[in-house]
Amino acid sequence: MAKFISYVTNNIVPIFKNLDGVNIVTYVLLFLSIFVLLEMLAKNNASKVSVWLSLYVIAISVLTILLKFDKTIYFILLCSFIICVVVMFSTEIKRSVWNTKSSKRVSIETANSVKMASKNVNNCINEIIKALQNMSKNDIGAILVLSNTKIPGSIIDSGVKIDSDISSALIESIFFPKTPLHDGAIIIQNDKIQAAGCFLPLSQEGDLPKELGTRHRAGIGVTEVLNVTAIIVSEETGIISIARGGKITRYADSEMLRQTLKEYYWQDLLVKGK
Amino acid sequence: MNNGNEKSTKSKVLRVFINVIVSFLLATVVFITLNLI
Repeated sequence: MAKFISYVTNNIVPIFKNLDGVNIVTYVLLFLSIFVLLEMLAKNNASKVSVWLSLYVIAISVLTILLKFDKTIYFILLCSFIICVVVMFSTEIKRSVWNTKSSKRVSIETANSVKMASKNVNNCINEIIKALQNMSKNDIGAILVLSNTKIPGSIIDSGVKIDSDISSALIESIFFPKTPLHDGAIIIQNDKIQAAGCFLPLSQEGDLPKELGTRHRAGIGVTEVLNVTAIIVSEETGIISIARGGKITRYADSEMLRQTLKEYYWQDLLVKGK
Repeated sequence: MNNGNEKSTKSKVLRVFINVIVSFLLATVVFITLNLI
């Protein structure tokens, strides 16, 4: 113990006594990068990984000091864990990056003011709900993505650009079985159907119930990586589900759909004139 | 509803506080190691 205290007073205390500008900047940068990493892990319910990360950093630091490792080896050991975390959480990182971009974009849009009249919004909501209920009644599978962010070009390009006003007849026609576009997703942006027949990234979540097919996986998958809402109608059961932030809510009734669409138009898009 | 919001704000503040402490400790450990080797 006395040996340890003398080691600390002889070697560690002088480090903090002789702090210069470069050392302070290094310390602050280290603190910020570790804090950002821990916050990202905590936001994605990966607090266990944070514990392992802390233990790993402490262990390799102690080992490096005891075994007098080279700085390069210490860096390699530190970076290897960070690379593992980045690979493990690539989807979450993608989502947080895209979401940051979208929030900036929305604020720009607010500055330019997204101008949609209240009447027009209500009309869009009614048309979408009518289409969803009709398809649910007739067991027609469908997937609608309410986009409040710039959907990556690859998703739009995988389908057919439409850029048409929202109408229940058009939505139902697109999803009518055996039509060329019925298998993909519709991308709705503001009061327009931007594209149809689009392919979405599938969720790789292993805990999803077996009755949820590819369409549901696509709906959940797109909300995992983008800040969007997806509405899915099951082809087998006609059940309407709402996916947001990688989570799915099943058995959505007209009230729930209205609430989701209102949130999309009034909160996500920050439409004026509520 | 308000109770729920209050709870989530509290847990968020607690999470950030814990992360600040842990980051501070880890940054100190890494900083000391970098200066010793």
